[in-house]
Amino acid sequence: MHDFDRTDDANEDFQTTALVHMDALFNSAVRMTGNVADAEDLVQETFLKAFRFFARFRKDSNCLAWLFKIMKNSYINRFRQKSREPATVSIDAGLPGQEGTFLETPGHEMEPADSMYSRILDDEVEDAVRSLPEEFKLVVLLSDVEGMQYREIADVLGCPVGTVRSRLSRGRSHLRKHLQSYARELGYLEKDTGR
Amino acid sequence: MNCRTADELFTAYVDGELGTDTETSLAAHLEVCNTCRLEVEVEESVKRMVSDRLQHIPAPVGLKSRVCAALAEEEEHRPWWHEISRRVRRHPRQIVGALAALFLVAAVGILSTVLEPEPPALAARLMRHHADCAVQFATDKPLTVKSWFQSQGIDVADTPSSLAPFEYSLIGAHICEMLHQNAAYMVYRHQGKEVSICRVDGIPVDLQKLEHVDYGSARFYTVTYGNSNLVMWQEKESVFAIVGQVKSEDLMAMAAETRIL
Ligand SMILES: [Zn+2]
Ligand SMILES: [Zn+2]
Repeated sequence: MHDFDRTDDANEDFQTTALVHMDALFNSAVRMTGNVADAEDLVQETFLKAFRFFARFRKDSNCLAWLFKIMKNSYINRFRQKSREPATVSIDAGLPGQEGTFLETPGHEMEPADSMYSRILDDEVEDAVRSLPEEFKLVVLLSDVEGMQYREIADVLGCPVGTVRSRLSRGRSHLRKHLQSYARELGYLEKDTGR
Repeated sequence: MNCRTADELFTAYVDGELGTDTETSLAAHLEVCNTCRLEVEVEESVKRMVSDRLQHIPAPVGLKSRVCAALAEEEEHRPWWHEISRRVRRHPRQIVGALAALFLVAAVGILSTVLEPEPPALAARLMRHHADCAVQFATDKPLTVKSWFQSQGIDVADTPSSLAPFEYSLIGAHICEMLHQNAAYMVYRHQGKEVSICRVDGIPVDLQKLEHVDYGSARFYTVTYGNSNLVMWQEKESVFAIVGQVKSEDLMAMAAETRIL
């Protein structure tokens, strides 16, 4: 099929440690990029970089978190190449009284892709998650879709655990605003809290 | 516990990330406070809705073989090959050793580990990698850059807002997560050209193997890679580097003028 040799020790190690996470990466990549083709490219780029730096990966640490970290950086980078003057949002990395900005990437429009994927992605909750500001989106995906713990997410994002918590909190209140009426329809929200 | 202190804990509570004691006292507050309990329930339902509704989307069938093909290709054209051949041209006597290493050591990981301490290889890596790096944090305020790095557990020297004697001004910073754990980069820009200063931690650099230039009281080690130049110097326990598609004399002037040194 291909000549990425399974019998080679280093390659086999890469296959069993890193490549096994392809589905998890793709699952988030498709929500980050908003379309299947870009998600495939992003995942491929992530594995290529991981392969180049695999010797540096500490074998006892969490490979999925490491891969996500690479993917996040590649994604920011890709966006940076597409746009010369990226929009910025306020930093919330815990600097009281300090002004700063983080790169923010705009929500991409869904492209008509493979029908199976478009059917899955054509959903109000999907839409709401996809339209979250970037700094909240990945945190929500890692926590509530991938089921990662704060510490692992902090490792991926390279930020303190407190920042993970505050972004998650703000991400969820965004979702709550967008989805309030829809959620009530589905019975996720029993009462209006009027917050 | 009152409602205000409770409010800060809802998210971590919902995620099961509170310590036992805090969790117990929050639970006690939720027993008696309807308002807070309702807030927690809402946050729980948002979390549940996301995990229920976002289906797990498997990677397309062809992706795995596509990635494996790309990896095989990568292995064939490994960048270290270029690093070796460049070294070989400068030190012909190493040719035999390098070739022997090539044939004997098939495992890629081992080879790159063996080569790592070579400064030219390191420089090549620094620059090739750096071309891939995005400015994670954009600001022109030196104080903010410093505190931002500190908040990430990295102590950086005072950051100047511009690089004299040229008009490169601070535009931001990033942490290089891939090359080594604690590399802090300050990024400067002038007339479309970017220059960045980083502290090289985590990789042993044998500066003595590089060409050097004495510049005032400082000694600078220089490497050229493609269109880029890299100037390194030792400061206290650390090695610093300034990188950019700029003449190395200019980089040295910036390094010498800037009292990061
Ligand atoms: Zn209360
Ligand atoms: Zn980097």
